Amino acid sequence: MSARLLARAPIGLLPIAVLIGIWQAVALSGLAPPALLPRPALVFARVLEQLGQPEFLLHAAATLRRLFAGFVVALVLGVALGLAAGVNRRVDAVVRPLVRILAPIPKIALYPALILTLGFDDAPKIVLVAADSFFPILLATLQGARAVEPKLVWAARAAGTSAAASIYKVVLPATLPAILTGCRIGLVVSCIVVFLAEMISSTDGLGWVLVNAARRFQTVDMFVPLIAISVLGLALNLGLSAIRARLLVGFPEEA
Amino acid sequence: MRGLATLPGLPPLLAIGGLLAAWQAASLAVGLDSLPGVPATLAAFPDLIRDPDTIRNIADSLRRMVVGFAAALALALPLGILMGRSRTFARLMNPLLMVTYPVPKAALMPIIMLWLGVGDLSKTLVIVFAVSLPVIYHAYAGARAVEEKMLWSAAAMGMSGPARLLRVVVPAALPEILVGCRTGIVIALITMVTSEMIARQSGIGNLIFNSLDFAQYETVYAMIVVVGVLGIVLDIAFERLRTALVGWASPVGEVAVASA
Amino acid sequence: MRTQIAGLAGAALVLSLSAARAEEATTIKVGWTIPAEESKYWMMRRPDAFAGLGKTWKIEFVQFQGTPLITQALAAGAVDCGTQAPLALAQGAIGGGLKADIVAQHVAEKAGSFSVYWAVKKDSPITSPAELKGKTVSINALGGGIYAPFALLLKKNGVDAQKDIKMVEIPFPVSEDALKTGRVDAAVMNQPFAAKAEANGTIRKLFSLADQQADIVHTVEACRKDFVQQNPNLVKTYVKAITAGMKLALADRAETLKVVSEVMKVPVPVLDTYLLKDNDFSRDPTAAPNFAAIQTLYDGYAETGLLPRKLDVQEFHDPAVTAPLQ
Repeated sequence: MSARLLARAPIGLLPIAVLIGIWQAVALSGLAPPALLPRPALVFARVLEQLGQPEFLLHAAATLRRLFAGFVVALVLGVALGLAAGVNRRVDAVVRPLVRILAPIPKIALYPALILTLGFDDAPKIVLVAADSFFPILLATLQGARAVEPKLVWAARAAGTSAAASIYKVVLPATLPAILTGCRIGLVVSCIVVFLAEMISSTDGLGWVLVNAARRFQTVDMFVPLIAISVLGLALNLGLSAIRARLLVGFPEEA
Repeated sequence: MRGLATLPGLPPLLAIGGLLAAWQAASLAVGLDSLPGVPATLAAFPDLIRDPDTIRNIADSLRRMVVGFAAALALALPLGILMGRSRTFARLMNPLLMVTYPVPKAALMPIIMLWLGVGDLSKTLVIVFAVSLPVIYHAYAGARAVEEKMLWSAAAMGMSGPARLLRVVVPAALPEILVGCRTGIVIALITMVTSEMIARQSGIGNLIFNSLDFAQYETVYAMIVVVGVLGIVLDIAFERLRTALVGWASPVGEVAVASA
Repeated sequence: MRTQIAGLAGAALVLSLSAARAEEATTIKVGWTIPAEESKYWMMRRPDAFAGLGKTWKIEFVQFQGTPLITQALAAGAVDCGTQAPLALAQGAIGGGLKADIVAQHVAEKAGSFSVYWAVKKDSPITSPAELKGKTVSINALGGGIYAPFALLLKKNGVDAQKDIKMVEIPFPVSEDALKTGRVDAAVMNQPFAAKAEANGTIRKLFSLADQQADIVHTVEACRKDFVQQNPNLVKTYVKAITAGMKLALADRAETLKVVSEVMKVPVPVLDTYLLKDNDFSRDPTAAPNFAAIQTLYDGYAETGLLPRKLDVQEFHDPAVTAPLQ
């Protein structure tokens, strides 16, 4: 009975509580001046206050919109290319060197060129987010597709499934766990990149809210978008976990 | 035609050639100073190489990257594997990770700089944090997916818990772990550069962002090429390592979906 | 025996404490950024030209991406002195409780010198600030130091910077390209990009900051008051070095070009188009701060809402450590 209770208790909140406790201790101890590190209570109070402000919600919506769009683009392209390269050696031969060269490039350095060609609004940020979260998803899908047991495919082909359909009906489901791990990473990367892009050049969004507050030395206001993106990331991740549980019903590791 | 694509060495060269061609075409089409073409970028190299500071900058960045990567592995691998094997531990750690990862550490640089100064430590810490992301999640997934049957057999044969962990779980999870490491290398290189955006002392990122500030775009793209080359070299080295470690895990031949 | 030892220990403690109080630090931590700090670049690259630098006293230089970050570093005590834009300093004082003194001045504008200006494409139909209504205008940093004179000038021409125009943030180096692509109708120009664009013949000046205020101060050197209190002689030495560095920079332009090129990694020919020429900012020969001009700026900031309240520049003025020192 007690083991069951332990299994149900949201023990995941414990480390977070410890983190906030450490934050409070550091802020009170004077290790960091209040001008740089405000007390958690002040920050959370401000967060709650801002949640009621339509202007702040608009900023959060802008960030969420760009994050989502970029992530979806990365997901579709990453999975498609990953599966194709995983099953077809020719595609792999072309994709592999391109990934090798393009993946480690800090795409943020291309941001000025992006702004000039695509404008100031959502487009350059979405492209940047997609470019950065594409590679973790691609790498995970590629490896996952390559590791699919050939027996599964042979069985499907022997039963009359066409080549294309067997990718969709056999390889894709078998690769799902790997894809979802890649998605987890890609999602976090999306959060970070959209925030950074908005910090560098933007007129709205959570990143801009932070930069604006930093310039005016409003430290408490600086922490509000950080908490916001953190909570946003948490919510999206939880959503992803729920989707994962749904999709991977029956997989041994989910049991 | 199929034979052409399988000639060793040719596809990468074709890919690089295609990339350079696309870059040059984009540069001509866009016609802006902020997107120089291939010849202009290559012309920036002689001056860069002759400047002794350049090599020093690249070395500084690489040193931080290597230290950061190693530290991230040391921390994140055990963490991820334990999470994969212990449901409770995973449920303990997961929310914390979900809450802390999405926060861009660049935004916390003022505080980090206060405690750790503006030197290597703060930048290396940012790299450690960023690299640990893919390593933890892939190690977690890999450890989780280890077949229970193998562990039961090992236990039945008298292997202790820790021994099972080391001699069954880790090898079985290794292919997945190595995917995490590969993504980790990519993220290490990117973070190595972006960590130098805020507090600049030395490094490739320092060169890139200083050049961006001064519209020296040829230098910017020349350094991007350097990073690209570093990426290729590291990735090839990593592939060799991966084949050596888990070559046994790859299915023989490709997954024969199409018979063309 | 024990009381004797305690007595000795107590005496030693008191002596060491008073000695520590009397002894000043010998190293000063200075925040710097690029561009436009020639006297500090000289200190970095030609330390032998300064009395005792590197021997009886040392400077630990820390580079930052921009002056607001130096404000935070000052507030946190991570640096002792640093380059500051007057606005960032004021915001740090009001918002972060930063207490600092303006000890010297780096670059400013004056009649005949370069003045930050807004330009349009050469063939643009816009010919006056009033025609900017409804257009897209760029600035390097929304809420930055040059925003107030800009907004006040537009107001004089009947344009409300908040409501009548669309403002976007574009860094200085990208302004020319932004105009060329038509992404913005008017863009802010600063050196050396202004010189480059003028040489290319792609832009036309619309109005400049000097049309609003003649002697805008762009960057000053600020030191934390508590550091000044604890190390008055070190700070005085440093301030004297700033004046000396400014004199060196203005006297030997050829050498200054080399020094700046080493620091900023920009080729000398690019610097030669503007640095220390007539189309460059003005530098006071002794690096003396122009407190009256800074006060005018602060009044403008309060009026445009960049500062929440009026500020008296004398809060940042300690004559004992203000350049030029004898």
